Amino acid sequence: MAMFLMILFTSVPVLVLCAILFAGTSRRNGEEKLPEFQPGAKASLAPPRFFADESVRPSPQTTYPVEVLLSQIERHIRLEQAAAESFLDVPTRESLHSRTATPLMN
Amino acid sequence: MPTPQTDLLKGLTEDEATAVMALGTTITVPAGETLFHLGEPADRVFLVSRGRITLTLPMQIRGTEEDVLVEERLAGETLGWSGLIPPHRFTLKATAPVDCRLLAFPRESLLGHFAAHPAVGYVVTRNVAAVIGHRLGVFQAMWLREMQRAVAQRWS
Repeated sequence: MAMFLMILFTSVPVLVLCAILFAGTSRRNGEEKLPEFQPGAKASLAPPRFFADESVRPSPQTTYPVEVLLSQIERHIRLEQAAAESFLDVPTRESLHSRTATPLMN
Repeated sequence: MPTPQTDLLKGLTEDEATAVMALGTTITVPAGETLFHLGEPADRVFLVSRGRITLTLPMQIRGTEEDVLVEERLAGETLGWSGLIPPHRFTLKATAPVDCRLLAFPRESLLGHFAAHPAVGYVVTRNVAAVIGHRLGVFQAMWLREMQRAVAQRWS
C-alpha cells in the first residue's frame, strides 16, 4: 500500500507537468499560421545572380543621405551656372567646355 | 527701395521708373514660404527688394520628389516674367529661404501703363527680354556641357 501511494504521489505531478508542457506547445503551434496556397499569387523569386554578389556591391542609396546628394547637386548647378555665365561673357570653345570642381563629375 | 538700376527698370528715367514703381505693391514672404508654385497661373511680375528668392524645379531622388535649386534672385532682380509672357504660367517654383520683401506688379496694371506710355513699355519689355535671353543662354550652355560629358562618357 505504501509503495502504491509513493508511486501515485510521484507519477501524478509528473503527469500534470507533462500535460502543462503539452498544452503550451499546442497553443504555440496554433498561433503560427502556416502559409496558405493562393492560386493567384506569384512566387517572388530573387533575380538570378551569376558572377556577382549583389549584397557586397556598394549601393549609392545607402552611401549618402538625401541631404548630402541635394547639397552636391546644388553645388554642381552653381558651378555649372558660373561656367555657363563665363561662357556668355566670353563665348569661346574653351570657356564653353571649361572644367569645374563639381562633386558629381569628379 | 529699388532704384532705376534694377534689371526691370534699367534705361528708364528717374520719373519713368518712379511711375512704374508706383504700380507695385510691397509684399513680404517669410522664410520658408513659397511665393509661387510651378505651373500656377502667373499674373504678376516681382522685383526683389530685400532678401533672396530661390527658384527650383522638382527632381526625383531615390523615389521621392525634391526641389532642386535652379537659380536665385537677389535684391534688385526680377522674377516671374511669366506674368508678362504668355501662356502666363510659372515655369519654376519660387521660395524664400530668408525673410523677403518684394514689389509685386500686376500684369493688368503694367500693360495699362505701357499702353499709355509706349516708350516705357518698350524699355521694360526689352529688359524682360534680356532676363529671358540671359536665362536661355545660360541653360543652353549648361545643356551643351552636360551633353558633351554624356557623349564623352558614352563614346570615348
